[in-house]
Amino acid sequence: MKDGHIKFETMSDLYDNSIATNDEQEKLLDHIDNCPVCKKEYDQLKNMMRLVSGLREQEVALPDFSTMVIHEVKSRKKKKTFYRAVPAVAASVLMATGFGLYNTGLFTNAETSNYALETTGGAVNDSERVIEIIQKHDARILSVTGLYVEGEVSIRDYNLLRRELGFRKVTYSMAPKTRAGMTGTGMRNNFENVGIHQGNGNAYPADSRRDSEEYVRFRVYR
Amino acid sequence: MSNSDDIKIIDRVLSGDVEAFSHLIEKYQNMIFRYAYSKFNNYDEALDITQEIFIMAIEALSSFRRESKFSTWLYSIMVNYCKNYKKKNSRYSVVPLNVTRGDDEYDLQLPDDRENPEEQVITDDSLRIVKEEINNLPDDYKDILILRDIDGLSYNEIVDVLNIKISNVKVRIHRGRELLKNRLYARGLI
Repeated sequence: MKDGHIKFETMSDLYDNSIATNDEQEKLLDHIDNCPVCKKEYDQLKNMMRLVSGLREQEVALPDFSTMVIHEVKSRKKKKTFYRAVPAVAASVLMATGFGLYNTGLFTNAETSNYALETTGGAVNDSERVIEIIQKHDARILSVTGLYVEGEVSIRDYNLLRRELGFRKVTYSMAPKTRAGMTGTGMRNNFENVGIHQGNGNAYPADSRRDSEEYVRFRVYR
Repeated sequence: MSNSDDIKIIDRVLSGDVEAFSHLIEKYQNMIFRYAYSKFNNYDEALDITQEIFIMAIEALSSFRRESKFSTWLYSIMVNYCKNYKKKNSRYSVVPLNVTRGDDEYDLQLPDDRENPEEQVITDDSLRIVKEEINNLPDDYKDILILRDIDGLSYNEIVDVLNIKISNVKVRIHRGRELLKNRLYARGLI
C-alpha cells in the first residue's frame, strides 16, 4: 500500500494471480471495490491487458511462408553439400590434369626418357635381337649381363656378324684356339687391350695374328 | 498442439522428414514475426528475420536437448538472433517513415506492389495504437511484455529465454505495464 492505495506492481501481480495467499488476494479485491482511485487504476490495467492480448489473436498474413522456409532449407542444404565437395573435386581435377600434362611429355627431359627407354624396355628388346643375330651366325653366347651380350665366333664368321650388328658398340679380342680352354677371367683382360668397333663397317680384328687364331670373343653393348 | 506434439514433429524432422517442420512453422510464425516486427518496424525485414530464425532452428534441431519446451528454445533463438541482427545493422542509419520538417510531419509514400502489407499487420485502429506504444517502449520492457502479455510465456520461461533473474523479470513486467498503461491513457485509449 502507498498512501492508502495499492501499488501498481501489486495490482500487476494480482492480475497475474501471483499474490502469495488467497486471504491477501481477497483483501486486495475488497479494497479495489471500495476505493475509486484503486478501482480506476485496476480497470485501466485490465483494459490495457485486454487490448494487448488482442494482438495475440491478430494473424499475420504470411502466404505460403512454411513452404518458402522449407524450400530455402533444402536449397541451402544442397549448396552446403556442393561446397563441401568442391575441394575434393578440385583436387581430383588438378591431379588428373597434372597427370595428363605430364604424359604429354612437355615437362620431361627427352634425353632422360630415351635413356630410360634404352635401359629398360628398349634394351631388353634389342638384347633379344642381338642374341638372334649371334645365333644366326653360328656364334656361341657365353653370357648375357645388364650391360652387354658376350659371345664367341670363328674369325671367318665374325665379319658377317659384325656387319649385321650394325650401329651397336662391339668390342672383341682373340680367343684361345680351343673353346674348351677358355676362362672368363682371362678374357676380361684381353678385352681391354684390343680395339673397339662402333658403328657400321667392315671390321677386322686388328691383331696380325688373326689368321692363326680360330675364334674371336666379342661383346655387344646395350 | 502441445509440447509433446512439437516433440513428435521434431523426431520426424530429425529422421529426415524436413517437410514435417512446416507444422511448427505454422504454429510459431506469428509469434516470431510479431517479435521481429516490433523490433525493426519493417515488414520485409521482419519476414526475412522470421525465415532465418526458422532455418537456424531446423539446422540446430539436433542440439535441442528437450530440457525445456520447444517454444522456449525457439524463443531463445529468436531473441538472440534479433539482438545480433540489431547489433550488426546498427552501423547503418535507419531512414524513418515519418520525416519531420519544421512543424509539419508527413508520411513518406513508398511504392509497394503488395496489397497494403501494413494493413495486413494492423487490422484495428486501437490495436495499431497499442502496437505503436509497445514498440516505443524501451527494449527491456518491450521484449518482456511481448513474451509475457502477448505470447503468454510464464515467468520461468522468460527467465530461460532472456537469461535473466526472475526478480528482474517481475520488475520489468510491472514497470513495462505501468509505462504502457500511462501512455495508452494519455492517448485516450483506456
